[in-house]
Parts: sequence; C-alpha cells; structure tokens
Amino acid sequence: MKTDDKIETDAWLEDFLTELLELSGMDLQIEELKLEEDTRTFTARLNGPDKARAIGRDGQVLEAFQHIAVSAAANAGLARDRLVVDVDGYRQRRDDHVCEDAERLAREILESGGMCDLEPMSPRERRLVHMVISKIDGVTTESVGFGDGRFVRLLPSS
Amino acid sequence: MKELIEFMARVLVDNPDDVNVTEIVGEQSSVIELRVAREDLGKVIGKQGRTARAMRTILSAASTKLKKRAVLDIIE
Repeated sequence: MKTDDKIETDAWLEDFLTELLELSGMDLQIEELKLEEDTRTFTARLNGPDKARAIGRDGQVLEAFQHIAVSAAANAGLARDRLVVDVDGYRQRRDDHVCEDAERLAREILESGGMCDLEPMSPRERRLVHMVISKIDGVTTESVGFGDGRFVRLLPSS
Repeated sequence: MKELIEFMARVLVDNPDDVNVTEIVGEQSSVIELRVAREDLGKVIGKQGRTARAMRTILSAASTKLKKRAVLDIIE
C-alpha cells in the first residue's frame, strides 16, 4: 500500500511540476524527487537558469508554487504525504536560518526569562520551530494569532 | 498565460470541464478572466484568498519573464 502511494504521488508530482514549469515559461529542471519516510515528506528539488525568478522576493513565488502543488495534490486525493517544493536549496537555507534564530532566542530566554514572539511563519516553519525548541529543556512554544499572521511564541516552561 | 491559468484552475477544481478562461490581450498588459463552476469558487480562491493570490503571483512571475503584465480576474 505504502509503495503504491509513493509511486502514485511521485508520478503525479513529476507530471504536475513539469507541466506547471513549462506553462509558466520557467527554465528549470526537477533535480531530485524524494520521499523522506520518517516525516512522510515528498521533496521536489528544482534548479536551472530561472531559479531566482522561481524563488521571487522573500520566496514569494516559491511559496505560490508550493501552495498550488499542495492544493492540487489534496484535490487529486494525494493528501497523505506532505509535499515540499524547493528551488536551489532556498527552503533548506531558510529553514536552517529559522531554526538557528529560534534556538538563539530560546537560549536568551533561559538566561534572562521573559518571552519572545517570532515573526509570522507558514505552518511548516512553525512546526519546525516547535520541533527544534521541544529539544531544549526549560523553554516551550505556542502558536498565536490567525491566518498569515500566525506566529510562534517562546516562553519559559514552568 | 491563458494556458497557465487554465492548467492551475483545472487541477484545483472538482469540475475541470467547467473551467473557462478567456484572455483579453492588450499592448502591454492583458486581462485573464477565469470562470469556474459555482461550487468550485472556493477552491480557486482558497482560505483567506491564498490560492487566488498564489495563482496571481505565479502569473506575474511568468509574464514578467516575457516583459508583459497580466491580471487575473476571477469572475463570480
């Protein structure tokens, strides 16, 4: 069953991205399409001459590609796995940065107490922060706010 | 650009055959009108308009490459 799911989502994602890139005139290739079994995440890594265009300011175009891919996959009945689209490792770099920032702020809270609000983030990034901070004793996280403005708050655990 | 919007709309909706896209081409900018079945409107607009915004962002990135401007109009 699992294997069938993988092949199904793999093939769907490859076809979908190939057509989307072609129609949007983006000169990009699918470098890698892989499934991380432990997190059940499909990651499509794209790269090519139009990478800057496909990332956009603050990753806006990349977010848009991902949002359409996730919505379309859900509509095709492929919502079992998480789906990530990355261009030239941009998302990985941004993820690393988000984690490093959260860890640094958590250490500050351990030293000086108080709490700290992070900038608004996507559900995926918030999940990442919750995971990273859950490994640090003495600091806990909660999500606050609604919609695009939802952010993570770091606070000392009692 | 018409084909791009048509493709995105068709994979998002339950009734792809009811997706209708027309492009009004101007000298520098064009208007792309998207019509879908009434019950699919929510699917192309999305929560807090996120899906419509994503389609507009992609449309804008794609047309900028062609040094053109395109506006997406979702007809209700």
